[in-house]
Amino acid sequence: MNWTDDEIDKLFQESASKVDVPYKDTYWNEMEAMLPRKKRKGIIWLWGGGLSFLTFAVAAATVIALSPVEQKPAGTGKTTLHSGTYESTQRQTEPETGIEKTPESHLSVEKQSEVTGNRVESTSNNTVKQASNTGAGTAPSGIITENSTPLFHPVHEPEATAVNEESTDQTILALPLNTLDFAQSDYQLIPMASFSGLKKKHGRIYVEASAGIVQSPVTPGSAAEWLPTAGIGAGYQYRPQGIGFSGGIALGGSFGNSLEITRRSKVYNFGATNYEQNLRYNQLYHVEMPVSVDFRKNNHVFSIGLTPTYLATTRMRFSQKENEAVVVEGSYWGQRVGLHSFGLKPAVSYQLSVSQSWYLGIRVESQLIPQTDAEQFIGEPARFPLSGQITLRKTLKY
Amino acid sequence: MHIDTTILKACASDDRRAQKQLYEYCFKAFMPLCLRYHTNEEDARASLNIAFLKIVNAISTINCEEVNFNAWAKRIMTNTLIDEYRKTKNHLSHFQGKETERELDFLAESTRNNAENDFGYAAIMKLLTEIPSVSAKVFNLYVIDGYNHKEIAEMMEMSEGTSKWHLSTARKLLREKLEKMNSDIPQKMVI
Amino acid sequence: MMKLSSSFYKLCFLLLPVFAASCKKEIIPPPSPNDPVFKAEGTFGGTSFTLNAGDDGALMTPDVEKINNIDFYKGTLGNGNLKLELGIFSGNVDMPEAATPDFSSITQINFAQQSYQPLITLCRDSMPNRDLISQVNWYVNGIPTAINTLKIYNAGKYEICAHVLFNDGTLKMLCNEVVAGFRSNADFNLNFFIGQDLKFKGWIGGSSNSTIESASWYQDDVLMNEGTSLGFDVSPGLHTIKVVAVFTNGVRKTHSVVIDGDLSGRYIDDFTKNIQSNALELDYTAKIKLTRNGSVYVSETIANNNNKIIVEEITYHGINSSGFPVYILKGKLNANLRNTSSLEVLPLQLSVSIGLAVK
Repeated sequence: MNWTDDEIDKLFQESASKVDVPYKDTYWNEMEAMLPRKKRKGIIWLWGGGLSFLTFAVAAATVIALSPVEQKPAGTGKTTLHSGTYESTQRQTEPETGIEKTPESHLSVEKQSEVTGNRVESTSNNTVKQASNTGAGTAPSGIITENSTPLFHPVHEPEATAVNEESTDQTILALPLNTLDFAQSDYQLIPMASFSGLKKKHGRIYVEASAGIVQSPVTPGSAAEWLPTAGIGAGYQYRPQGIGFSGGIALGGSFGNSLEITRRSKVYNFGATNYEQNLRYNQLYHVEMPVSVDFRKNNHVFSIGLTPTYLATTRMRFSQKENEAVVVEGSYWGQRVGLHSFGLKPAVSYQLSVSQSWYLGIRVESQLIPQTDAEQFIGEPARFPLSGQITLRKTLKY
Repeated sequence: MHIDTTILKACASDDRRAQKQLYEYCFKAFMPLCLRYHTNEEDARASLNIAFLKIVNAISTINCEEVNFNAWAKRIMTNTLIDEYRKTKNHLSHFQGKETERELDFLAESTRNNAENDFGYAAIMKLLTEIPSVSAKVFNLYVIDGYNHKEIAEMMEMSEGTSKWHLSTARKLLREKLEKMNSDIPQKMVI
Repeated sequence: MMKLSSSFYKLCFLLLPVFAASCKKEIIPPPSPNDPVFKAEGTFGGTSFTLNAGDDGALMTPDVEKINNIDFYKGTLGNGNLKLELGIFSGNVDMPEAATPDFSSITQINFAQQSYQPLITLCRDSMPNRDLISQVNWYVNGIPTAINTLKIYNAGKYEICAHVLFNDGTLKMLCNEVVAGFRSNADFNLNFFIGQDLKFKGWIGGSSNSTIESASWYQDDVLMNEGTSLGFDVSPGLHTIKVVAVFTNGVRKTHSVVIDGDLSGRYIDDFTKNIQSNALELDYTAKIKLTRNGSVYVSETIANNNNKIIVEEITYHGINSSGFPVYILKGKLNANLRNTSSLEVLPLQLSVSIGLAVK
C-alpha cells in the first residue's frame, strides 16, 4: 500500500485519539506532594491569638492564685511566731494560745501594737522572729537581732497560721512577693546581717516569649498593614527595687505577604523574550539584642531600651515567567533582595511581676532604620513602623 | 471531554478535593499528549505534573466562565513539553545546532527497528519514537496538535522552511515503516 | 561565677541554622533589557515603516538558501503584513574549499541583476558532428528541459546532461557541470584525438591564469591516469572520458567527452567549450525581496544598476538554531523594487540592521 500524506496524517490522528492511559490514585499522591501547602496566614493568626490568650490565661490564673488571702481574724488571740534559721530551734506551740516559744532563742518578742497583717522575714544567718498579733491597738516591740543593721524588708506570708517548722531560707525566699496590706510605719527596724544574699535574688537569667503585631515596612495600599509577629529570647536581668537593667538576645519573626517585588525586562534578539520575576517575602526573621534600663517599683517594672536587629533569614515565594509562561517557581530561604540587614528599635515596656519568677508585660517598639529599599517594593514605605507585643518572661535559677 | 466550572472555581480557592478531581480530568485528557513527547510513562507523567502545577497556580488568574479551559490547559501543557525539550537539548538561547540533512538520513537508516507484531493504535503511535525526535515533535505539533509551521517555527526555534522539511522527513520515514509493517503482517491489519 | 542555664545554650544552638541560612546567594535578576537588535526602518513607495524583531510579532530569521545550487546568505525580518528579505549571493562557486569571506571588510554591496538574455545557450547545431546527430535532449539537474537548444536565464550551477541520439539510433549521454552568472576563477579545455590506430591521445589545454595542481583521467569512471595527458588504446564502442583538475588557487573543474572506439564519428565533444555565455557575475551581490500585504517586490531590476548598499558594519552575532553563523549587517540603501506581478517599480529607502546566516 502506498501511503499518501493525508492517509498518514489521518492514521496518526485517529491513533492518537484512541490512546488511553489508566489512572491510579497514587498518581494524585505524587502530585499533591508538589502542590504548595495551604496558606498559613489564618493559622498564624489563630496560633498567635491562641498564644496570646494562653499567656493571658496563665498570667490571670497565676495572679488569682497568688493574690493575698484575707487574713483569718486572730480573734482568738493567737499569736504566731515564725522563724527561719539555720540554727535548729525548738518550738513549743500552744494551740490554744497560738503562742510559740523558742526556749533557746536569743530574741525576745514583745507585743507592742496591734496589727492586722502578717509578715515573715528571715535572713540566711540570723534568726528573726516576728510577731503578728491581732490584738487591738498596741504597737509591736522592736525586733532585735544580734546585728543591729536596721532594714525594713516586708515580705508576704501566704498563710496566717503555723509555719512549717522545717521551713528554710529557701522556702521563705520562694514565697511570692506581694503588696503589703499594712502600713510600713507600723514597723521600725528589721536588721539585716548581710546584703549579699539579697543581691543574688535580683540578678537572674531569663527566657522570654512574645507575640503581637508589627507594622509592615511597606504599605501596599492606602492603609498601614499589620502583620503577626512572635519571638523567643533569653538574657540576663538585674532588677532590684529602683533602677536595674536587662540585656539579652532574641529571635523574632514576622509573617505576611505584603513585601513584593516585581522585576521585568524585555530582551531582544531574533524575537524578544519578556522576563518577569515576582518576589514575595512571607516570613522575615531577625536576631535582636535588646538592652534596657529598668525601673522597678514593687511588682511593676518599667523599661526603656534599644534593640539592634539583624535580618537573619527570610522565606520568599519566587516565580519567573518568560513570555507569560512560568519557568521557575518555588519558595526560597535566605534571600535578601531589596532588604536591609541592620536595624535599631527603641522600645518601651511595662512588665508586671505576677510571681517571683514570672513577668507578664507589653512592649512597644519602633524601627528607626528603614528595612527595605523602597524603590524596589510595590507600595509606600512606612516611616518608623511600630510593633506591639505581649511578653511573658520567666527568670531562672543558676 | 468537559470539566464543570464549579470545580475550576473551587480549585482557584485552593480546594484540595477539587484539585484532585481536576488532576484526574487533566490526566485523562493530556496524558496521551505527554506520551507523544516521551518514550516512557514515568517521564510523561512527570511532565504532566509540572504542567498541572502551573495550571493550578494560574487558574485563579483566568475567568473560568469565559476561558476555554481545555484549550488554555493544552497550551500550557504543550509549552511545558516544548520547554523541557529545549532544556534537554541545552537550548538556553536561540542558538542551537540542528541535525543536518546528512545526519538525519544516517539516523533514519540506523533506527529501523522491528515493529511489534500488533498493528494496533499503540503500535502506530510507537512508530513516532522510532524516527528522529525533532521530526517526530514537528509531526506531533502539526498533524496531531494542529499548529501551523509559523507557530512550530517559533516554538521550536527554527525557520518555517526547516519545520516543513522535518514534517516531510517524518512522513517519509513513517511511510517506510508503515509499508514494512504492512508487508510483514498484512493479515493482522486492523485499521 | 555565674553558671549559665542550659536553656541559654539551647537558644544559641537554635539560632545557628538561622545564621547559616542567612548566607544564601541572591536570586539572579532577569537579564538586562536591551534595544531591538534586528530592525529595519524606512519608506517604501512613500509609506514609512518600522520593523523591530520582537515587537508586534516581528521575527528575524537568518538562513542560507540554495538558489540554483548557489548559496544565498539571507535574513528575513517581518510579521504577517510586512516582510523584508535581504540576502547576499556567495561567490567563488568553483572553489568548493574556499573559506567564508571576511565580511567585516565589506563597505558596499551591489545589487544582483536579472538577466533578460540567456546566460547559457547550448544547441545541437554548435556540435561539430551535428550531421550525425539526430536529436539532443537536454537535462538540467536531472529534469528534461529542452530539445536541441537549451537556454538558461537564471544564474546558478547546473548539472547539464546531453542525451544524444545519433542517426544510427545509438543513444549516449554526456554530463558536465555548468556555472552561469558567476565568476569562473579558472578553467581548462579537454582536448583529444583518436588515430586510425585506435590510439587515444588526450591533453589539457587552455588553463589560463592558473596552474593546474593535479589532474585525474577516467574512462567510464575508471581512473586511467594522473597528469595533464593520457594515452591508451581505445576499445570498440562509445566511452566517456572525464578529467578532474584541481588548480593551485583551489578551483576544481571537471570536463567530460564521449569518444567512439568504432571511429564512426559518434563522439560528443565537451559542450561547455561552445557555451554562448552572457557575462554576468553575481558573486557577493545583494538581492532584496519585500512582501507587503501579499504583493511581492524584488530588487532585480535594471533600475538598480547604479544603486548600492552602503555598509556601516558587519559584525559576528552568534550561531542560530540551524547551526549557521549569523552576522549582523548594518547599512543604508536606496533601491527600486519591482512588483513581480504588475511590474510596477517603487522606491525603497532603508536603514537596516539585519541578520544574515552564512556557511
